[in-house]
Amino acid sequence: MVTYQPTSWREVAEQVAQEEAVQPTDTAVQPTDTAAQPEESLNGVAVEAGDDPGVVLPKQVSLILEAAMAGVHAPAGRSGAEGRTYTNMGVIVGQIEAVRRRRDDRHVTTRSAQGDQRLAYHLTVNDVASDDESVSTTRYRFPIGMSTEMHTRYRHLLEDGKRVILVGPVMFERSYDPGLRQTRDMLDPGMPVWNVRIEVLTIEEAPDDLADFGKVVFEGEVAREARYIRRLSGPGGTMDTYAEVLLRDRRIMKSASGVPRPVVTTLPVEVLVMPEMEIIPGSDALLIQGSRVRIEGHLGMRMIRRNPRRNKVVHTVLGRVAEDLRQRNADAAERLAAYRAETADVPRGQRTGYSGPQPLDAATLERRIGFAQRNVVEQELVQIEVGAITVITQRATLDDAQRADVITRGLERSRRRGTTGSPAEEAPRATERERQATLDTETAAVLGPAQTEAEPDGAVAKRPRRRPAAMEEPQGGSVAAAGDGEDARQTASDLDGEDARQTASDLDGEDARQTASDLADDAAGDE
Amino acid sequence: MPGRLPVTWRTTLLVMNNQVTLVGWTSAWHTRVRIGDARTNVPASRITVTWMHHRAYGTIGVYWPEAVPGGMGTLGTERPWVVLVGVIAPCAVVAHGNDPRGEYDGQAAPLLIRVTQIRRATAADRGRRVLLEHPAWMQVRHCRGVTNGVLGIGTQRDMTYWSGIDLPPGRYPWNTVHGVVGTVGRERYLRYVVRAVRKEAA
Repeated sequence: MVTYQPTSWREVAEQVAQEEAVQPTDTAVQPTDTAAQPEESLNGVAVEAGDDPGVVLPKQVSLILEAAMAGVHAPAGRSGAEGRTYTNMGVIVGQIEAVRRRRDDRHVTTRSAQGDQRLAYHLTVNDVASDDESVSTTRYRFPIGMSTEMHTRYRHLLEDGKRVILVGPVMFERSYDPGLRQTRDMLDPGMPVWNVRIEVLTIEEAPDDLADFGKVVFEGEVAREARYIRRLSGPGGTMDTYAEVLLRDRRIMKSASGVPRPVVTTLPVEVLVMPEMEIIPGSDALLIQGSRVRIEGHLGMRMIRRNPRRNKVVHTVLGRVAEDLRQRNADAAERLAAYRAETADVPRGQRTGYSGPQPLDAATLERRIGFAQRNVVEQELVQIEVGAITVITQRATLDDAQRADVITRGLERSRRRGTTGSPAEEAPRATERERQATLDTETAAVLGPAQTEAEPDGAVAKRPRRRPAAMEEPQGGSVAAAGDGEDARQTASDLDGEDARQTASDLDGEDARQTASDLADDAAGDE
Repeated sequence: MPGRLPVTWRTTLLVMNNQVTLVGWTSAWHTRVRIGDARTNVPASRITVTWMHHRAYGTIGVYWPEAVPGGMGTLGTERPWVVLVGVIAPCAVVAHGNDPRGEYDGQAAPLLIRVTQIRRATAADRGRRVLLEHPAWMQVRHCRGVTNGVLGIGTQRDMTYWSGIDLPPGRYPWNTVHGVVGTVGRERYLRYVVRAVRKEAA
C-alpha cells in the first residue's frame, strides 16, 4: 500500500545543505556570501539571517525559503540558481486557525477572482520587536485563503492551534465584501475591496524557538504619487505622518510550459516620513513617482472605518440596513398582534403558542441597528509597514525644504479629500470664475463706491497702437478701449522692462510726490 | 463698550520705501511651507505666518521669513493687539486648515507683508492713525474683463487695483491696501486690493 508522504521543504533544505557541504559548486542552491556578492545578496540573502543588518530572518526559515524558491519543486518552473532571483516574497509565522461558520461550524470557503475555491484560515501572529532598551508587541490575525491543493497537501499541519510557517508571494487582490451586498439586490456581489493576500507556496511546522513575525520583501517602482495620512501614536501622543505608496512590479516570467508570461504585481506599502528628515534611509525615493526600490516590511492589520459621507455605497447600505431591521421588527410586531387578535377569544389553555419572531423594543432595536451598521462601516485591512529600503533607481533627490513641501502638499490634498460632505449635500468645488465673481462683489461691498479720482500718469499710460479683431468690443468708450487687447499685454510686459524700473525710481522721485501730493498732504496733516 | 474700538477709529497703511506699519489683531502663528518660485529663485522653505485683522484693512497675511519653533513667543497668545512693521513682499504658502486661499490657486494662501519688527501695542498705539506718507505706484492692467473697477496688477495675481470706475491701464498711485475675503462653499478666498484714498475719505 502506497501512502502519501507530503514533501517537507525543511527536509529538502537540509538535504541540499548536506550536499552543498560535499559539493559546494554543483548544487541547485548556492550558498550566498553577502560580503562577497553584494548584488546577489539583495535577492538571495534578503531573507538570510546575520550579515545584512537590515535583513533579519531565522536560519530555519531561510533554508525553507531557499529550497522553496530554488529547490526541486520551484513553483515558477525555474530551477537552479536562477530560481533565487525573486523579488516578491512573504513569510509569516503564527498560530493557524480555520474560519468556521458560527451556525453550523462549517469551514468557510471563498472564491478567488480566477474562480479558484479557497479555504479561509486565520493566522494569529504575536509579533515582538525589540532593541536593547525597549520592546514592542503587535498582535494581529492575518486572513489566509488556502487553495484546496495546498490544503490537501498540508492537511496534517493545518490543525487549529498549530504554529506554522507560511511562505509565498504577496499580492494585492480584489474581493467583494458580502456585508455590502445590499446596495442593489441579492445578485449584487457586494462592494469591491482590495486587500493584501499571501499566496501560500509552502507550509512548515514552526519550531518552538522561532518567534512569530510577518515579513515581506518586495521590489517594484513607485506607481503613483504617495498619499499621506496622519496617525495618532497613542493617547495624548504626537501625530505621525505616513506615506501610502503603491509599488508595482512588471516582469516577464517563465511558466512551467516554458512560455514567457508577463506578470504585474502591485502592493501598497506604508512608510513613516517626516518633513524635517529622512527618518528611514531611502524613504525619499518612495515619495517620487517612478523610483524603483526594494523594500522589506512588516505585515500588520489595521481596522479602518469607512466614511459614509465619502463612500456613496456605504452611505446607501447604512440606510438600507436600518430600514431592513426596522421593517423586520414592524413585521414581527404585526404578526404578534395578529396572533393575539386571533387568540383573544380562545381560552388560555387551548391557545397554540406563538412561534414567530419577537418584536424588539425601541432601545434594543436601535442598538441592533447600531451593531449592524458598525459591521458595515468597519473593515480590517492588511498593511505593510516599510522597515528598510534599498534604492535601485531614483528619479530625483529631495532636500529638506522640498521634502517638507511635498509632504505638506500631500497632507493638504488628503485633508481636502477627507473633509468632503455627504454625497447628498456635497457641492462641487468653486471654479475660478465663481471665486472672482464673489471677490468682485465683496470688493465692491467692502470698499464702496469710487473714492479716488486718481488718473494714470500720462507719461507711462499706454495708448493702444492697434486693436486685434478678436478682441471684444469696448464697453466704456475710449476709457475701456485703452484697457483691452494689445495695450493690456504690453502694459503687463512693461513691468519687467524699462517702465518697471522707471516706475520704481519714480517712487522716490519728485514726480511721484507731486503727482499724488494731495495724498501726501493728507498723511502729513493727520500725523 | 470697554475693550472695543470705537467704530469711527480707522487704521490704514504707512508705506515709505516699501515699509508698512500695521496695527491690529493677529491670529495664532503657524509654520507653513512657502511655495517656491523657480522664476525668481525663491526656494520652498518653512516660514512662520499669521493673519492680521482689522476692519480698516480686512485680513492681511504676514510672515516671518523663517520657521520659529513654538510660534512667536509671548506674541503667540490668542489674538494679541500688536504693532507690526514690515515690508511689502508678497509670497504664497501651502494653505492649511482655515487659511484663506488665493483667488487663482486654491491650495495656496497669499501673504503680503514680511515682518521686520513686531511688538505689543500700547494704549497710545491704539489711538494713532497710521496713514500713507508718500504714495506708492502700481502698474495696473485689465486682466479679467471686469468693468466694475477691478483691475489686475502686473505679476501679482492675488493683488488688484480698485478704483470703483473703469480706468485705462497705466500707472496709478496707491496708499492703502485691503484684504478682501469672500466665501465660496466651504472655503474662504482672499484678494488684496490696493487703492488710493483721498484726504476726505481717509
